Amino acid sequence: MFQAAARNYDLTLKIGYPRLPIIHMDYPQLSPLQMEILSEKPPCFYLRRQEQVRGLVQIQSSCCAFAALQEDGSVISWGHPSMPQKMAEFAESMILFFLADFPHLFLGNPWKSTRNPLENRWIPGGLCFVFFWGGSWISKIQGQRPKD
Amino acid sequence: MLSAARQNPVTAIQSSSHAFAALLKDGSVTTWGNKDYGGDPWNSWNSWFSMG
Repeated sequence: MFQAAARNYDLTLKIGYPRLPIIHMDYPQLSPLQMEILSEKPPCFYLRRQEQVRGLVQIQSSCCAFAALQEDGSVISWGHPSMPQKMAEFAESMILFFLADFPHLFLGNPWKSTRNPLENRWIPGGLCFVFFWGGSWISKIQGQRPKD
Repeated sequence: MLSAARQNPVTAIQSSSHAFAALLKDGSVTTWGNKDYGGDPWNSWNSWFSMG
């Protein structure tokens, strides 16, 4: 299950958000159950640089954010911009929110599409875009044709 | 508050649906997140950016 989940993340990040910079999903210290919990969140809620978690002691998830207790007794949290505690965490969450989750509000969650392609609203969204763009292009071409 | 972990480290954390709580070594508890779910908005940015 752990390996399958890891593969899903890789596939997701490559297909859904190929241009996200320097963000990767790699939590070797998490249990398969925790990985499954993470996998049910939208992308911006689980993306995190691995090196930012120093000695994971405990992790807790809310509906839309995570908090991790580190070995030095400090806590870091991330997820929806309303949940993180510190200013830096808030700023990062906002960036991730707009990079990773804002498109999902309109076009569906590409990450979920790796499990069920029928849920991928990027496909009909893309087709609609092509349809309207193609229609406007054809109209433009027809408008340039010399009249008989 | 949680950044001062050396003086008063966190020993455990707990989540509700929209907030978090941390138990500190001195027995005190701090929360952050949505105030309607137990979070203290002064400990987070939730006071001006709410999920609704």
